[in-house]
Amino acid sequence: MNFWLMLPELVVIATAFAAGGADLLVADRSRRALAAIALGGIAAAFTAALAAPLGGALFGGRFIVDGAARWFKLLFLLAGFLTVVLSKDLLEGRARVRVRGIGFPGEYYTLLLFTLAGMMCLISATDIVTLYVSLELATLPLFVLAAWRRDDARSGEAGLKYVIVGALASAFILYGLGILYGLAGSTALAAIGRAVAPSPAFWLAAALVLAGVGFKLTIVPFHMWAADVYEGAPTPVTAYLSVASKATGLAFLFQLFFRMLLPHLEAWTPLLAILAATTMTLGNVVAIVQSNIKRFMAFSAISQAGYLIMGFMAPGTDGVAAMIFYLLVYIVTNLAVFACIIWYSNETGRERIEEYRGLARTNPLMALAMMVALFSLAGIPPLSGFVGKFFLFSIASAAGCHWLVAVAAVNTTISLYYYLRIVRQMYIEPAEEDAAPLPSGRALAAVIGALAVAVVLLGIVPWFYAQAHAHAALWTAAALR
Amino acid sequence: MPDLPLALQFAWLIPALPFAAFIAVGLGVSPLSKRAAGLVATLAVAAAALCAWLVAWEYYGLYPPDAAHPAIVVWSFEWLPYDAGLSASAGVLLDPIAVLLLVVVTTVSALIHVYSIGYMGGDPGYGRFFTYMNLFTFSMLGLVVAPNIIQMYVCWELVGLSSFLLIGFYYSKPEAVAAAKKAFIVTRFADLGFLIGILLLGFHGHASFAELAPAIAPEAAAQGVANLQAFDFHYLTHPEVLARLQAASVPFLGLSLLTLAMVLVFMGAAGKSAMFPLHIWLPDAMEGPTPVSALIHAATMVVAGVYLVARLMPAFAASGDALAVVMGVGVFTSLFAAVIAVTQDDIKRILAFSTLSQIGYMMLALGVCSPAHPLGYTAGMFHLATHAFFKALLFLCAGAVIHAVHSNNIWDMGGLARKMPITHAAFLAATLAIAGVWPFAGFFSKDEILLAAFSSGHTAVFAAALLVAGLTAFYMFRLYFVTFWGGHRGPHAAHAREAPAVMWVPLAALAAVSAVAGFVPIGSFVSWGEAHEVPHCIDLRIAIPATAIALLGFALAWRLYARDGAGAARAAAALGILYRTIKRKFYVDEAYLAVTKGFIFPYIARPIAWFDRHAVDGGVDLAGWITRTTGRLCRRLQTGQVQTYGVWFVGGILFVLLLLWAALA
Repeated sequence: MNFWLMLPELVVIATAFAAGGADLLVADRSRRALAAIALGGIAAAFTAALAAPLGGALFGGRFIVDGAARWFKLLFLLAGFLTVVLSKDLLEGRARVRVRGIGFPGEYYTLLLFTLAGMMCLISATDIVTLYVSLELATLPLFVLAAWRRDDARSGEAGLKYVIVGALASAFILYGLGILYGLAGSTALAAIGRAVAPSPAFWLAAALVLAGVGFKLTIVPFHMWAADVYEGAPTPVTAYLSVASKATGLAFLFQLFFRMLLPHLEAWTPLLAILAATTMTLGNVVAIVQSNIKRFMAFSAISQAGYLIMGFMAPGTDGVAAMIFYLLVYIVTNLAVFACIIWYSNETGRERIEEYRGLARTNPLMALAMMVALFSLAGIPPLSGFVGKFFLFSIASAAGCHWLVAVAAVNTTISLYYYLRIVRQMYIEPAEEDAAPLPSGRALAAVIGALAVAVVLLGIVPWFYAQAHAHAALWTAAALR
Repeated sequence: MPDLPLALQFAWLIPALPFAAFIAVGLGVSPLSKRAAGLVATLAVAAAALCAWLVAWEYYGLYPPDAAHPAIVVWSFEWLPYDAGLSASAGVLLDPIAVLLLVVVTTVSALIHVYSIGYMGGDPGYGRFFTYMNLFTFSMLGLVVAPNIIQMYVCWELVGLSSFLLIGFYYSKPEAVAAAKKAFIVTRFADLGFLIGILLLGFHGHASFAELAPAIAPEAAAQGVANLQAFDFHYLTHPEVLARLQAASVPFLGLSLLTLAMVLVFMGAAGKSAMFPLHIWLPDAMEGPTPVSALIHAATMVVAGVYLVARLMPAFAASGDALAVVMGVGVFTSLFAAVIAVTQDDIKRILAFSTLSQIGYMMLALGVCSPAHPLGYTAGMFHLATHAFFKALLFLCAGAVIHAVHSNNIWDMGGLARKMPITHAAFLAATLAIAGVWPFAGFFSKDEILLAAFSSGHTAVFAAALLVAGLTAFYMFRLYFVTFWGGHRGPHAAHAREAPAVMWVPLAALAAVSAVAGFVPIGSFVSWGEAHEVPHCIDLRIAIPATAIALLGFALAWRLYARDGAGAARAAAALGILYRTIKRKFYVDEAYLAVTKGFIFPYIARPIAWFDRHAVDGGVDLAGWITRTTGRLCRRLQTGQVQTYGVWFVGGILFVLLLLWAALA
């Protein structure tokens, strides 16, 4: 058995314990070492994931590493790394706006790293028990993180709502998986896929599991929790939820569809198309009327999930490549926006869209980075969001789903309107009389700069898409075998 | 391709240097330091000029004078691949006319950059000015070295853009804005023809590409074209391709495809080179700063049309009819503009009409060209080069004069010869050059054009050209006498002072070139086809009448304007309505306005505007309203109560279940 395959997960778990343990030992002053431990661990895991051989299996094929698994793991680690950087200022009390009731950083990092480990195991799992346990590991700590600001009623409300709806989703998934086991008599995904035949019980199981995944991926109508949780949770956690948690949902769908349901996938496409269309439309029209930027980003993220699952219209290498490439683009772009939001709320405590007024006058570079990221989310060429959307739309179009492409195009136009609302506040509305340039921490500024550059580079350097395509090809080759 | 000398391998630096400076000055230097902006921009263009001279040296080292001068592609990269034979590439093509233009454009541009440091000093838009100038220089050089018609077109539009930006440089002046718009719209309209011509050539050229390319490719590969494309000049000007295009006919007046395409291409050339009836933008373009008028609207950009015709000479010649159009338009414009120039009072407008007339001359020279009589090609390009120098010089002198007297009207000047001796001497040299007086440059190039018209049997054209030569001498000496002789007329003329050194040194340099450039044995360097019929000595049959008519023009100007304008006023009064018609430029602008304001605006534009305002905007507003209302309604679903969320969750499951049931059952 080649345990090197599992090295990234093991490193993440070890780091989680190290960060939690170190929190007990270090003095308050040296708390910043904890972030360094977490970042170091994630970076090591990233390297290990890059170096791990492709196509290996552990535990008799219950844990495998293939193209998509590696891609997802790298994305999770990237999102985790950036989230730690974005959280540092808040946790170490360096935000200009004093926030009370922040818990210990060590615990925060431990929980964050546990979710990372869960996500990483999830994409490598090949049987439903591991899958479920990984999903829970990836979800449960997030309930705690959402409620991290003890003294903040909104944060508490977010945690509570999240845990209730999350429990509901979890129960449904468990119930669905149970039915599948009952139908097939096996816990291995591939075996279930071979054994099940169309029957009402199977449809019920599929509907239950899909609802659970829809919860993670914020598919309408399983999205309701997102707005409240995104708004109430500490902003770095919101950022993490909007990218990593969503990526977990997609990873789960990948597992479900490609390892298990591939023979039946044809029949699923109309359903997924309807879900995609409703998700993007509802997310977009509701985003228009939001005034809190985090709530606004929640609906924006919902609509982005709608675009994301368009890739399932053609479940081949191209579709997979389009989805995992868009996921990368989405993570980078969304984190860029959130990094700016975090910076702004750390400095001013403001979260309303109108309060971004005149940012381009006081902090032109920050406003520029945010504008680039928002335009990328809206899909303006040559930014990466455009390229990613282009691939997804062309997948749907090639699959003959022209109505869906039309709906998506209309939605893109709507989304441009509301993303421009923020840009308008930043660039056109005058700054307040006494507005002065806001300072920014070096790490945060570096992350924002790097992300903004990445948003552009992903759009104009074809290497990244080529990589996504290569990984997708490996994955589909394995899944179709 | 044999091993190329280093200078040729790095020929791409010539356009790249101004481009780099454009980026650097525009984004970095200009906000930091104004002085540095001018310096960096000027140095970049000067370095490009140095490279251009080196390239010329090496090119003629590789292909000595009087030998064949192939068009070689020294550098290229594939840019937008679509299909076999159908990809746009960018590169650097060198042949005699490209090398000639490289040298002329970079040299004139460098000198004008130096001049501008003085002329634009203290202007609030100093950095912006140099940014645009570099953009222009880059675009023009990219156009000159284009190895295919796509790059040509892209750079063609870029020079149009930089011209627009620079005409409207003083954007707070309504006239400048109107002039910039006029220039852009007129040239864009002409470029529509160019684009359709390109598409016709490309489409039909590509149709027979698979058949013809294998035969042409090795030949082209020997000249550095690694991957032949249908848009490459090597392909488009190949005799077999042209024969194929000439044989194809279009269902329009029974024209051959080639003729139609080339006439359309010439429409673009005529727009950029301001040929009648698309000339109306150029006189107004004088609203731009004077160095811009000198560089773009006299020396370089406006001759792009001439260059385009020369570049596609084999295609024009193969069509024949298209070349006749070139000749006709050239002759008419040169005569028409020269007549108008006689009556104008604005110093820059006189020079602008003179430019029109001289470009018409070049077109005429190309128009009388044929495989049997290729002299017109050499003569046209020769005149292009000499004209670039002396016309730039005239404009720069005009700029110095305007700088000194704060007026464009020649009747506000007068008596400046003593106040501004260097400018006066330079202006005189340029005037002698343009009037065609031996030994100044214009004498040689103009005589060569006259000879080309005469020897190819176009006697009527020859006569018209001779008349234009006389008119040119007359209006130029009118300008000269009124500006520099006589008493001080305007309020500032008495206090005029010589320009600073940074301004007069370029004047002196250009004057020197204008004086001696004629002695370059151009026929050894630039020629078309196999036959060399270029004379190396002055042909007296041409020189004597040409000089005689120039002297006649000079004498008339002396008689009417050397002392005061009283004689001229009497002459004008005697001509009556004819004079007024000419003075109003034959009412061409008014005719355009009548068509646009009387017909296009009320009957086409206004209904469209109404439709746009009401139907389109209304539709957009409605869509926005619907979306926002939907958003407001959907927002109500989000109650904030977990119970609701749970209900939706379960409802969703039922919905999915039903859908799956329907789909899978």
